[in-house]
Formats: sequence, C-alpha cells, structure tokens
Amino acid sequence: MNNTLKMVLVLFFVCLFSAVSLSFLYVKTKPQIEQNKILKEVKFKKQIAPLAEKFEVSQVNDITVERCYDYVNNLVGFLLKSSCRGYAGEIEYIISVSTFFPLQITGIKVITHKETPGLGANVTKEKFLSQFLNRTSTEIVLKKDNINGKIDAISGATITSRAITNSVRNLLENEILNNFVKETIEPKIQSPKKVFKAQQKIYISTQTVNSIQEQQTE
Amino acid sequence: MKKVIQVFINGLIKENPVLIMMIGLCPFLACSTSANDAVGMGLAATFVLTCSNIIVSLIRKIVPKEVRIPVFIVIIATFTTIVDYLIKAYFPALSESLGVFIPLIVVNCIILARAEAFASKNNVFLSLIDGLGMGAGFFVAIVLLGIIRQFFGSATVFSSKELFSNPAVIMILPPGGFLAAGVVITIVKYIENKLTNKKPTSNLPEGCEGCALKSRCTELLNK
Repeated sequence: MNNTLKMVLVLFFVCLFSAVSLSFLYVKTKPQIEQNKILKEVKFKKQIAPLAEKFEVSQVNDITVERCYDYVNNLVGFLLKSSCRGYAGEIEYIISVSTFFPLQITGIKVITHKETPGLGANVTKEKFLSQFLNRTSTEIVLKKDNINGKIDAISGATITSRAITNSVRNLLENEILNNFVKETIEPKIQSPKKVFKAQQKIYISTQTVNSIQEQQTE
Repeated sequence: MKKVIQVFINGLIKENPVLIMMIGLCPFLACSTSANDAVGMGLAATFVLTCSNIIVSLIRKIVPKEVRIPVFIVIIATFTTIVDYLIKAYFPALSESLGVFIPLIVVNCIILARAEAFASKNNVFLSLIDGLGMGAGFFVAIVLLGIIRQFFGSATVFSSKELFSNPAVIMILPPGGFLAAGVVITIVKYIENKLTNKKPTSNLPEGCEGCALKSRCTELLNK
C-alpha cells in the first residue's frame, strides 16, 4: 500500500511540476509566436505590394481580398489570400494582382506549408515563385500539363507545384472575384454606399507595422 | 577528473549513440536533409538530453522502480515542449524547416536510453557530462550526414549557393538517407575494427557476434 501511494504521489508531482512550468512558458512565449506570424505576413505584403500603404479587407466568398492604396489613395493592387491542398497538407499563400484586365500576378509568397523538407518545401523559394510574375491565368499552367504553360514544376515535387499552380489559376479565373475587382476599379455610380462601406475596414496601416517593430526592439 | 573526460569521450567516440550503438536513427535519417536542419536538430536534441539527464539524476532516489519509465517520458516531453516553444518564438526560420520533427525528440531513443542506463544510476554532475558527450556524438553524426546529403542532393552546403549543376535529388529523399547513413556507418565500423584490431572470436559469420538469435543460428549452422 505504502509503495503504491508513493508511486502515485511521485508521478502526480512530476506531472504537476511539468504542467506548471509548461503553462508558464506557454504564456511567456505566446505573444512572441503570434507576433512572428503577423510580422511575417506584413513583411510578405511589403515585398509583393511595395507601393501599398493602406489595406482594406473584404471577404469574397472564401477568399480574403485586400485592396491596396498608396499614400495618396490611388488603387495600386489587390492582395488575395487563399490556400490549397498540397502533398502533405494545406499550403497557404498570398498573391498580389494588377489593377487592369486580364488580371496579372505582380507578386506571390507562400505563408505556411507542411511539404517535404528539401523537395516540396522548395515552393517557398524565389526560383519557383518568380515564374508566376507578370503572368495571366492562361499562362499559369505547368509546362508538362499544357503546351501554353509557362511554369516549370519543381523536380521531385510535381504534386506540390501542380496544386499551387492550379489553385492560383482558378483564383484568377474566379468569376465573383473578377466582378469584385471590376467593381472596385470602375465603381458604379448607383452604388457608392456599397463601396464606401467596404472601405471602412482599414486595419493595418504602416503605423501599426512600425509600432510592432518598435515593440520588438524594446 | 579523469572519469569526467572518460565519460565525455565515451559518448562522443567510443559509444557514439548513432554510429556505434545504432540508436536514435530516426531523427538521424529524417532531419539530415540539409546541414542547417541537422545543426538545429543536433542542438535541440543535445539540450533535451542534457536537461533530462540532470533532472532524472536528481530525482533518481525518490522515483519508485515501477513508474520510472512514465516519469522519464514526462520529463523528456516537458523539455521537448520547452524547446519547441523557444524555437517557435525566437528562431521562426528554424521552426519552419524543422517543424514536425521537434516534437518527435520525445521518442528519440538516445534520450530515454541515457536516462535509463546512465542518469538513473549516476550522480548529477556525471549525468550532465554524459548528456553533453552523447549529445555531442549525436550532433557530430547528424551534421556529418547533413553535409553529405546536402552536398550531393542539392549541391549546396550551409548556404543557397549551388556548387555544381544537376545534383542527385535522391540523396535528399528517404532512400538517399539510408544510402548515405549506410556508407558512413560502414566507414566508421571499418575504422573501429582497424583500431581495436578485432579478430573473430568464434567461427560465426561476421556481424553475428552481438545478435540475440546467435545460439539459434549456430544450431542451424551446425546441422
């Protein structure tokens, strides 16, 4: 009996100690981990839409669309955030597109992925992603899938490359999205209210970015 | 002092966990696709190994024999999670490339083996040294394999500059891991045999000496 009690107590205290120390560390590191994610996204946005100073978010079906304005409120582009199923899980990416038709890609970045290190993980590299630049939806096909295609798949990672290529193409060909873009570029006079409403959602300006960075240096 | 050095060298060379004792092969193969990942994994595993060795050695006298394995695993899991959080928070780039492998340090056999075989029987200081030595042994082995695989598989070492064109992609894939590991272990065994001047002590075929089924095979051979 005594021995059993000792076993239970030792195991209990070891677990208790570990739970307490882990929850303490979790609380300590959580803000830093979340900030890393935000900073990464902000950094990517800056890279693919360098002119943009203000972002306005709206939801078109399940795609997150952000209209980008420069500091004198000119529309400079759209940021589209979407995801697709890759080889080993979800690939989350963000692309910036032009403000004229047919829609052209002006920048693309992969935010999160779970692909094989050394193979599928190469989708994050410039060598693959730079092929998308200044392409329209008809050109965004793998070279091995269609003769008009302009995208070279990563060797050894065809599934990943095909998934992201097809997903980007479908995104650009999405009808509802195209209508949304058209409406933003040439707003109909009948519905100024609608446009105005969407524009109120300004959530990240360069000031917030600077304040985050200041916090980090502190 | 002599014993301290002996324990450290034991872990690093004489009883190198991966190359001589053949434990901890899973992270050795999985995390050696590039030298950078290998360094990260080696350091993380060394940290967990050393810390768990210290704690296990500290509480070795109050832990009943029957529950020692659960206690060891809880301790190891705690330190692994600590490493996971710290890497996520302060080394986001490393956490992206190592990602799923960090939580798997929990099941790294080296760590449990050292807790069971060394730390639960020796004092705190020696356990610390043993953790560092074994960790160093693991680190050296995995970084060596990482460099070899990255060099042949993606033609780069520690950087993104390609040294030659058309690298052999298979070296990054799992089969390449086995190939490279096999070659490295063969060379190490060859050197070990040369140095210790081992002579076959029995008429068993080479490599059968340490096998658990040795007696059975001998029966069959003799028939």
